[in-house]
Amino acid sequence: MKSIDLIRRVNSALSFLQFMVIGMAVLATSAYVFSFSEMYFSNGIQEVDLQRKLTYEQVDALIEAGVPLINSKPFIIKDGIRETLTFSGERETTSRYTVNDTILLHPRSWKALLRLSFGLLYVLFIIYGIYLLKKLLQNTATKTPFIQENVAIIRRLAYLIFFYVFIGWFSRSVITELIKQSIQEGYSFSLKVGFSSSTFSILILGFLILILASVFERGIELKEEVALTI
Amino acid sequence: MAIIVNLDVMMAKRKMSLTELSERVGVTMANLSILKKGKGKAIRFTTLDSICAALECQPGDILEFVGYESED
Repeated sequence: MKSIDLIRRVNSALSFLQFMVIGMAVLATSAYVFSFSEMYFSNGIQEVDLQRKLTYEQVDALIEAGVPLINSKPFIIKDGIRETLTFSGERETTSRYTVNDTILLHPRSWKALLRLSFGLLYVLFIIYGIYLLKKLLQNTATKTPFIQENVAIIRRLAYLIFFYVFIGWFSRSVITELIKQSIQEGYSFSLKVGFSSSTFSILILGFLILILASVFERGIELKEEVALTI
Repeated sequence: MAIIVNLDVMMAKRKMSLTELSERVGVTMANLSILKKGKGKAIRFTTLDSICAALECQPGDILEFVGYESED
């Protein structure tokens, strides 16, 4: 496959990815806005492992009352007894609650809005990153890759990755803990800083991209030297 | 750069235009112009050989080292 064809195909794939990401962001925002509609609330039945049935309104009331919701599966601690919530029925796969990092959030709560805001921030990063990649591809296809504009684009990609990692860490560690604290009564606030192995991989990738930018800069210098060698 | 190129001086002595020199040496006028203005970073020996042959001169007639200013 010729390089120009490959560049064209990669460009198309990036455009498609950008479209999908924007689509998901629009859907997520619409779902949040829609949750304010009265029609969103239904009287579905939820089963718990003690064979008790709770309606959405009863679950709402428990959460609004500040009954703690913690741990790896969504459950409520009530009277010292752990009850697992299993959402079944019509909305089995589309729980009206956001289950993210094991937190159950009321769809209309400010916490859900905070979650959505960070999600949209992620989306903006991804869209800008795809835009930079497309620009880089375009420059490589039409001009020489060794131009100052490409060096700037590659550096920006690296900084975008660093921001992405930082924002992800911030939203996971700080915001999640703040939300947990506001849900659990009498729970002392303790900030947990969590890094996964993928965080370090992504950080290393960011540094590699910065090194690539320096390599491109050196390439520009060599190109200029060759051009000015008579 | 402490080396200056006196190409225009030699061209005037030999009464040769840039176009004619470009044809004899086999280098584009744009590149010769870069050399004449002193903007070139390097010159190949083969190019220097061709220029000296065309202008019937020594490399020292074209290239001159003017040195650096003292820091006194």
